[in-house]
Amino acid sequence: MKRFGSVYQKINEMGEKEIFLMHLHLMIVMIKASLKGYPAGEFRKAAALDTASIVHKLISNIDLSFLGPKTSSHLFRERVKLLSVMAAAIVSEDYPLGIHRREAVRDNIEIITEYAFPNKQIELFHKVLKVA
Amino acid sequence: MTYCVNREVKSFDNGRLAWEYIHTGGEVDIVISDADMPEMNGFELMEKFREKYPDKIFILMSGVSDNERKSQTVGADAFLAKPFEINDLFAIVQCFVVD
Repeated sequence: MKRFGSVYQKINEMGEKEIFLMHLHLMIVMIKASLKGYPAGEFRKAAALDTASIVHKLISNIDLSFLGPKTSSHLFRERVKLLSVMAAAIVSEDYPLGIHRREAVRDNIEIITEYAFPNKQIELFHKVLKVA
Repeated sequence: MTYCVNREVKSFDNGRLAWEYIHTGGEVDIVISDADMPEMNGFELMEKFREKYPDKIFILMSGVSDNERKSQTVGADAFLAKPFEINDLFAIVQCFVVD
């Protein structure tokens, strides 16, 4: 039997924080994949827009005390909301991107990642993402 | 999961609804089921699913450590321990779909 997920000693039900971070992580992966030109397709586009919407809703009410004192929760909330809007715009391909917007997206991802995923590298699963 | 696998993903609130879909001809390639669900739990669903589709993939997930050993005993193809991350879902797709 193959095994995925948490180590045995840390098995537990998922709380609000884990669910939010998972959606945020996915949204960042989606944006990065889109910027790198991985094929989207209708299922991925719909899932991406759905995820951006979920993140936008979740960030409004979630308790951000897990971030600690290293950042203002208000600023973090606004950055995540902005990122969700950026994600929807990028995925929908309805709006021009351009160099400055790309840079703004990358900067926002970098700062959010620094606070939300401090010891993690957000990797792209090339073998999975390249499948259209 | 839809984003990871880039195919249609059906989701159900409990095992009974999932089984109704499968039993009435719904096309399924892989099942990822919570172990503890109302009306029909993941183990019961897996037993019925395996009778119908012995060669298809069934993955159990849980936030209860005892369910991991039970999943191994009943022959699940994989166990997804909660809390899990997006990388775990990508890894599952890579393992059971891409590779």
